[in-house]
Amino acid sequence: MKIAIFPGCVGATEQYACEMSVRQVLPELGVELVDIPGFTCCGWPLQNVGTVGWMYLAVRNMALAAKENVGMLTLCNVCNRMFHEALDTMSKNGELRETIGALLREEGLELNGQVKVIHPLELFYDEIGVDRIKQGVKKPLTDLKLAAHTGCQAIRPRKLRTIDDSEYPQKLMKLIEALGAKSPHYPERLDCCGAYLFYTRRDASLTLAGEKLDAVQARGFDGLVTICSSGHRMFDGKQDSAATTVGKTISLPVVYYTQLLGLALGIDPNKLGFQLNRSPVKTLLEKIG
Amino acid sequence: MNGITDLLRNVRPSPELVEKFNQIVSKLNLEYPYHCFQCFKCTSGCTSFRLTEIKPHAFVNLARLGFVEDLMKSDLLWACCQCLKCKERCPQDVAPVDIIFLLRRMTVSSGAEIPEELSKIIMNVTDTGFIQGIQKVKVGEEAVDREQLGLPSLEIPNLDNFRSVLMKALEAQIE
Repeated sequence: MKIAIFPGCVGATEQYACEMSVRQVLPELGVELVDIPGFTCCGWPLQNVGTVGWMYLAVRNMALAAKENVGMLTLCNVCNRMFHEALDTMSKNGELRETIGALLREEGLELNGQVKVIHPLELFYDEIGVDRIKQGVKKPLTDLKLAAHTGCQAIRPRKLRTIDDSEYPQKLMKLIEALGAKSPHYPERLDCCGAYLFYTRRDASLTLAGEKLDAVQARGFDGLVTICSSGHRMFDGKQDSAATTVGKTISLPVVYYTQLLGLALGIDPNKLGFQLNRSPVKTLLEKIG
Repeated sequence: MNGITDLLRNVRPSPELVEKFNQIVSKLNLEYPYHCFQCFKCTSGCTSFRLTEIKPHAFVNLARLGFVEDLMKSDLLWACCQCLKCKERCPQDVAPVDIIFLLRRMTVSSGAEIPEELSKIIMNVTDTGFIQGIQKVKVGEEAVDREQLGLPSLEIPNLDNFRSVLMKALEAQIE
């Protein structure tokens, strides 16, 4: 299978560990990566401005992938939702389809038919499969208890596409367990990371992240596992300010799923971007040994 | 900040905005707000409600009653965290989050001010294609970027053309 990584703004410009680790683990699992120059933002911020504007950005990115005849792997849940929403809205609205088609032609692009937009949970769980991942594990992560954070935009709205159950998502838990660790259910599993309040209500945004981190830590988890670069930025990159905002002492390792998978596959932590995590991942690495 | 009761007491609906709102709702095939029977399920599950007092059911109700202009002026318009629980769980298939984002777009096109940080990332996207420039991140004492970590370039071929087409897209208001 050939696939293009769509890192999204946060992944592309700041949370480099997500993309680094994905680039390390996928070839090990038989997935070929293709680089497509010219990917931009998925269009989310422009959803606040105009429908044609945000949809143009979303469709333009998909057209770039379609031109190379490859699917797109979205490392951020929001990007995944925007692409599916753009396809859905265009399929229902001829006027929009024509307007956007005309704009695409000005950049020498077109989008005929569908392009495969795939979420990491679909790729790892549905396409590669838990068994294949288990077979590749060289270093089982036994004795670790890790909380799974699937993220809001991956599981909702279910009507748009079903990546996992919208009330009880379990794929990420099962993918963590495939590596030998435990990933039990916890009551805060659906709590939001607050990423998209960050630009409009910073305090509320950091409060959401801080409260979830605090709850996960209090339940005795060894760490929190993310599968979205935006959520990863809140829990890992902004852990200190989130802790200050909620007035708690938080010291919880937060890793992107492919970082964890890479460890289990026996890949060097530095190649997986562990040196970039802001949360105390050192304690986690020591436990794994 | 205007409270909901203040809104109901003090203001009169503006017919043009109400008409515009209804036109966009039908043009974008948004789930019809009149199907809402005010069960409050959206508000009871709303992530932001506890922290900011945003009430999704009230947005839907006030919008359909015609208080479009006042919702556009409300600070609460910017308090949605887009967790999408309201859209997912509504027993009537109404999507309060879509109504909120529609009102945001109407606010922007009216020329009113929007939260500064949001405005900044929007400007960055129209200028560079991304919400922010390539950040340097710390590794020990050193600060490194994508390239130094061995990740491919983000350069957009023919950036000028990209910018001008995107501007056109933003001006092409179907709303």
